[in-house]
Amino acid sequence: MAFLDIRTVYYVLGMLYVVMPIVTWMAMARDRSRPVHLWCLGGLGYGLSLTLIAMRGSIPDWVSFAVANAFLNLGSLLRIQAIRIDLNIPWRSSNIARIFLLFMVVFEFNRSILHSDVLRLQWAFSTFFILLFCLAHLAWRLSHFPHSQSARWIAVVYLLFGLAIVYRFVDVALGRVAPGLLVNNVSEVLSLVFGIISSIFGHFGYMGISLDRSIYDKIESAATLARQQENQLLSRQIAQLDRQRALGVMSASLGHELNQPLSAILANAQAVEYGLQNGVLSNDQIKDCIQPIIKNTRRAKQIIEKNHDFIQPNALQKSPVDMIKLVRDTAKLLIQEANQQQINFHFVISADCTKVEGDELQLSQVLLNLYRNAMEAMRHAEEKSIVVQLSRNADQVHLRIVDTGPGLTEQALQNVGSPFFTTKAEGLGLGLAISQNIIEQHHGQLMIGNADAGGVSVDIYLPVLAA
Amino acid sequence: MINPSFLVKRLKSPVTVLEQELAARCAQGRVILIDDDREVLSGLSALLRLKGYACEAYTSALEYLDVLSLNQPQFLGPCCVICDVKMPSIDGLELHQRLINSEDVPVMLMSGQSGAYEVVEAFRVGVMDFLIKPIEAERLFTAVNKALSIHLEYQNQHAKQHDLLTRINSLSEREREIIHRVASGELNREIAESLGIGLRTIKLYRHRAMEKLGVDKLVDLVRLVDQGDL
Repeated sequence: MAFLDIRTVYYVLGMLYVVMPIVTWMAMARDRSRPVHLWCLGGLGYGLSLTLIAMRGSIPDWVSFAVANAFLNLGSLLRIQAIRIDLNIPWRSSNIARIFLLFMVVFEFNRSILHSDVLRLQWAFSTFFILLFCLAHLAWRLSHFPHSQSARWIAVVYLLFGLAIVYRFVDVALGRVAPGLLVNNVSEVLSLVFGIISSIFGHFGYMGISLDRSIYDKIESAATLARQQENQLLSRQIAQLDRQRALGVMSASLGHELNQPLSAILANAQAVEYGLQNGVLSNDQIKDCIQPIIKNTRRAKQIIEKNHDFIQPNALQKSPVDMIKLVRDTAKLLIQEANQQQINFHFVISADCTKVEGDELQLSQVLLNLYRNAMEAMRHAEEKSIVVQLSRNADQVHLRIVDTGPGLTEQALQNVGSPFFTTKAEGLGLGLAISQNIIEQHHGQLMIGNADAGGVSVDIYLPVLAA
Repeated sequence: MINPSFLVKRLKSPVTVLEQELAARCAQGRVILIDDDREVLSGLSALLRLKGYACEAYTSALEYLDVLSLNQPQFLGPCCVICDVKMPSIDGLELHQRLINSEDVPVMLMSGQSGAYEVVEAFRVGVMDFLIKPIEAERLFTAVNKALSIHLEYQNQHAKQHDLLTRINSLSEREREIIHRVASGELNREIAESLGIGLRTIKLYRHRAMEKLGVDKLVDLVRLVDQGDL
């Protein structure tokens, strides 16, 4: 293989193993945990070692042999430890130190004391491929973990690299080549080639693991956030529903409560009437009857007032609300469901200032309800899209939500918005009633009808907030 | 059947002028009002007192039952109870249940809010009337009138039965035997024969017994015997 300069290849491999760990380390900026540091340091160790080997002859022997091999061995050990940490079975530092020490002692013994090139080389080769196989095995185990499938690549390339080193070992053992690196033969070239491959694929594999994990984390946290926000809204809606139900119960008891003062009033009034008719009442007695009438009338008024306080939903927290942002953000909450059902949201904004004064949470409750209705309606539609139009005329913000569902029937159009009317199998029928109530409290209007192109169109008009 | 508790009721006579006034009202009728709302009680009492009735107001049925159990002497006259259905401790229907076992005072229920089911149940167990609040004066008076007259009927019935019982108890063993036989159609002669007593003695006993019982004719005697269940 005269056309190939082995020394140069060693330089290249050395450079690769210096550059790629640095690149990996930089790329994994978000995820720099201990394993990442160890992996990259290990890679650097390989790189330095290979560079020193390439410079053999021009630098003192103890550097290009002992130090280079030390770096190589250390590099393997650090990388193994990195994967072990990810697998939750880290070595104790003392163990790593012991293995390293053992390697170095035997290596130096073979080199400096026995002066045996063969022994030295074979010891280095055998320890190297054993560690590589360890690395490959551990990476394979890691690939079974969730979101770490890229580790498979690491396992494969290091297995191949290890096998190439085995081939090298066999070559030297059978005496087919001279014992030493930097020799120009097939097995040497093969191991260097696989070394290059391992550098590239190994680092990409490692970065892939981090990528997998970070994407998964992002999805998880987005989903959790969406769920939290929805829960908040839902619990508000439930609170509202509870109040309405309690109101029903209250109305019943309200009747009963009011009847008490009314009975007293009627009895006293009729007593006066009867007494006057038959002339059997003295003025004092009349006064005694009139007093309770007045007292009980006031009592009745109090009862009604007490009930009224209960009917009003939680006071509006008024603040400026940007409708554009609101319609988009609320749509984002439903993005997963929308994607699942392949529903597209189209926003047609034709106004720059669409701020209203109101309670953001309650308004988004309304939007959520309307979006949900639209999504529900389009369940069996071929093309599913929700068009949200925001425009402004004079002193009103006009929000229109149109879906591509089948639209409402005549009967439904009449009843829509009445409490407990629903076309959904599992609906309570209160969403629209609550929404209407909220919009009304914001001094706006909510109207529902069929769109020209089919589907339901909901129009909301709200007074714009003067800038 | 003779109501035992009635026998235990004690009557009193008025002494002072106030008591005379009260007695006069009681003679027309005593209305017992029970409602947890004092305003309602005072309103209804004012109205009924104007009409000349005597009113007793209680805010709980338990209070009324306690007073009943004291068994204080009352002025003569009919009475009735108007009780609200929905009350905290013991409601109208339960009061009716308890009264029905010991008194025969007519119970009327009133309510500010009752479904058809409740009203039907009430009538089914024998409540006399059901008044819906707010109650019109006319309706109240009609109901009270009806209840009092019914109670008066009961009271007269009981008085008669009491009287009868006293009379029957005043008969001696022999007299009773003879009356019994006379009522079943035996001739004096036959009775004398079967009892082994002289005819004149029989006639004497018969005469005395009928005097004690307060009847002249045979047909009245038979009726009395049937009633008294001799």
